[in-house]
Amino acid sequence: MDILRAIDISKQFGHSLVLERLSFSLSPGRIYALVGNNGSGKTTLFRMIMGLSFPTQGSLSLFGSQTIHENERARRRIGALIENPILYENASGYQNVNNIRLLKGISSRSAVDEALRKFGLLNKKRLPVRHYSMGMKQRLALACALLGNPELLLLDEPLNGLDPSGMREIETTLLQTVRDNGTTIFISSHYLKQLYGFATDYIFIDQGHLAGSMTASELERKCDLCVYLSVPEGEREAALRILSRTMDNDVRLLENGEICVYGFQEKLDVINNALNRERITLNSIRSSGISLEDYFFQMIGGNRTC
Amino acid sequence: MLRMLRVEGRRTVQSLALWIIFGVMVVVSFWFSGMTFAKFPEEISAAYGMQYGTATPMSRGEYVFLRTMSDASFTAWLSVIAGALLIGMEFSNRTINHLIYAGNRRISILVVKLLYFYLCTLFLSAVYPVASCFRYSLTWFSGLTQSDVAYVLRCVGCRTLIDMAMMSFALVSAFAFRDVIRTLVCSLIIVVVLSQLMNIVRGVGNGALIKNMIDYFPALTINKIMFRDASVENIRRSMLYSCTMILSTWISCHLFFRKANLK
Repeated sequence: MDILRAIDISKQFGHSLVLERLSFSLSPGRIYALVGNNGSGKTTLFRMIMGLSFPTQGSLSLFGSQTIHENERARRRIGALIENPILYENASGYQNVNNIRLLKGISSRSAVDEALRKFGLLNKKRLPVRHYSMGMKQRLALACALLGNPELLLLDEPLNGLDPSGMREIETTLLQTVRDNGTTIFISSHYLKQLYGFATDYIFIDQGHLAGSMTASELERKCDLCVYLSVPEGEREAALRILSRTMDNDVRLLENGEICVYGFQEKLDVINNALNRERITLNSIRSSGISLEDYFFQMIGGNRTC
Repeated sequence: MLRMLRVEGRRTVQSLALWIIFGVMVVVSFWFSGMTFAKFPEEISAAYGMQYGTATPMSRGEYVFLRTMSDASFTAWLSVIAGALLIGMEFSNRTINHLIYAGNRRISILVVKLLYFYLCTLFLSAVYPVASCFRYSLTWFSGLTQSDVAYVLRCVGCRTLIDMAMMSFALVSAFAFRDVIRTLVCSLIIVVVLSQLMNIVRGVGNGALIKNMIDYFPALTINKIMFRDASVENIRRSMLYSCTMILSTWISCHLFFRKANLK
């Protein structure tokens, strides 16, 4: 059963058509990245999924729901962070999460402390939220969204306002959540590098239209992104085995004896380290293909900035 | 729905701003009731009673009760602020979204928000009458007969419905504009314009249709129905108008909120 199915949904505000005949579906346990420029309709789509606005045309079905009422009830199974964190500024971090616990009908009080601990806010739980930094508020909102182990997590630009180490921590926590609970994540960002290596599937959206959807490995193939390695002939089998084990990406031995790893240049360090650990000699290493940004520009057929 | 009410209750208890408003109102009410009633001799309360056609002069306790129950203008101003702070703010800060995220139906959210608004505003608008009666009417209350109790209950019931009717403009503005500033400004304009209009229309000769309609506008009926010997017909018509206004408010709020695009 699909977690979410959108069929031909359109959204119009006055004369402005923000989304036009968008159709896609989300399967359980995967991480979907929604990629699009600012103003492409990402937030509008998320708001419709969460019931903050309604499609002008088409239908949205959550967890196989057939009616609007069923959709409303199904939202209990979703955690969401859309745009800026929604928090009671004068209440403490604990009170904010506890209110969400009560609204979601979670009986265990320890779930609040657990959520705060997961995002490193346990020692600040009595502090009023107005004294929190932007990054802390973002983490608190994520703690609220993750409370009760939702089956679907909707995250609209969740890494905004976080420093690099904060981003890494959040990514690790989210990946852990997917592994532990099989949560499906639908995450949007206009900063493409944030999502690479994190998402398993990509949905591209441009000016309200679905520009394409593909898995991470399909995307890498389409971008023709490869890292080419040359190792001594006697060490090729071992290198192939190590790389296949280390990398999620496809690894292939080419006719010319080079090893090709599909993926982005950002993985050069990982490849180097993996081979060095096993004392495999690396004669040369080079990369080819176009970047994710360039591919996205090609896809939307323009020269707009991303 | 009970979950939402529980959360609203907790938030209210945790809200420092509401406690400060409540504390200020208690102090101001005691001070104001002292200013208003301390110097009033029994003859004035008797005259006030006669003005409304009561057969016997009132004691000061009953007089204070009647006067505080007959002055509902404060409720209109209070509801302007409460509409903006309790509902408009929820839309502006987007905190109402939590209720939708939690899988609640919009109609349930509306009911909870209306209940929360009515309870908070009625509670705050009761501070002045309660403070005044506590100060000056305890003797009268301690010697209530059965008919006195019925009279007090009737007044409290009628006043509650009239107050709820008078909160309509703030409520409709809050759900129509879904923004704290616009709710405040719009409901303020409506209250000011209506109070001026009513003063003008009251000058129109008896028998005119508009005069008849305005005469039963909840805020104006209060003087006709609060005294002991008020006619059943007046009470019935006042309550009918109030209930119609309350019901219209609920329907309007539902229509505004049902399919509204939230921030």
